[in-house]
Amino acid sequence: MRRHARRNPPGTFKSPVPMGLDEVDVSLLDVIDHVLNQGIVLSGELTLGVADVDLIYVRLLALVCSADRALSYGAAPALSPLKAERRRA
Amino acid sequence: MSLCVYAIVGRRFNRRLLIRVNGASGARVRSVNAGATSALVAECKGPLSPTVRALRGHDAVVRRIARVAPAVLPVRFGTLVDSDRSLVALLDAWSDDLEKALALVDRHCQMTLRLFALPGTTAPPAQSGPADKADEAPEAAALPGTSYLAGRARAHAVAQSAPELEPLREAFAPIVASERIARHDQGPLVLTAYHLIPRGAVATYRRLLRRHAAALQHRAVVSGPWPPYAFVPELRR
Repeated sequence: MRRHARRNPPGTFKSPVPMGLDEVDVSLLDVIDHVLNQGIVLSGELTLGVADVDLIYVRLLALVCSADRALSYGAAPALSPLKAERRRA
Repeated sequence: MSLCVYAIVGRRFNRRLLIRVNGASGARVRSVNAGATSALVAECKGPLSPTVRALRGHDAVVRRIARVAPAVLPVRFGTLVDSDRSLVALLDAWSDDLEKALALVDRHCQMTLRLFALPGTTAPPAQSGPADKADEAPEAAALPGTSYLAGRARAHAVAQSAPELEPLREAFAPIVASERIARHDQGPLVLTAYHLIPRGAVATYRRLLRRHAAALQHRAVVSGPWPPYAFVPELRR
């Protein structure tokens, strides 16, 4: 019998680091908690200057979205796709 | 065109493998370097809607990044910056905090353990310990501001305590490098514990949990391994 080489699923590859992140049991609750409620929040504005002359105005377009804030929008258009997908799920 | 920020990593990561990681929009993930840290970004159009597909896509990209980088700080979904220059300035401003956090999560991953009240039982609110009662007398005589701050500190300590996890403490001690607790006031979910463990200790963690779960007096649900979402520094200041 011909043996086929085992291939990684599309978009993945063998990890050079012993990670173990493949064995995942990910519920939607977990994804929302981690992706929307955790993680670094980069927010703010910075003005970098030398000798009182502003050189760079750092503009962040960050949408900093926590689960609480997202849910408080209720029927906001940005959330409606999430609601629709959850209803379908 | 904006840059979607997925993660911040130390400079020690496999750049050669990064070319095989794409962002949720399909654009190639690339690094923006600033000192000892790098941000991993991909070009995207405008604000991101928090759809299920987008959220899962963000997590998938962070996981792929974790495979090529031993130390990863995930960035919250929806974080966009307008240019490399903006990002470099932010990374520079927070470099100390980021480097400390990267050292903590280096070669570690996160397990998320949720404790639910058993059916027919009600979840008791977190109790303050005997040590807190001993502090009440001096506090009563303190200035209102001091009393307020002491109360805040006590509330914070209670929020971070998890006596429900005591049956696991001794068993988990060799592998849990750090812990974050989130207590929940409503519903059957009593608390969520985020445990930072070495990447190679996932099977051990699950085995220990199975062995000691019966002593917990709660229903325990574990998920993971995750990139260390709960072990990122507070950068708001």
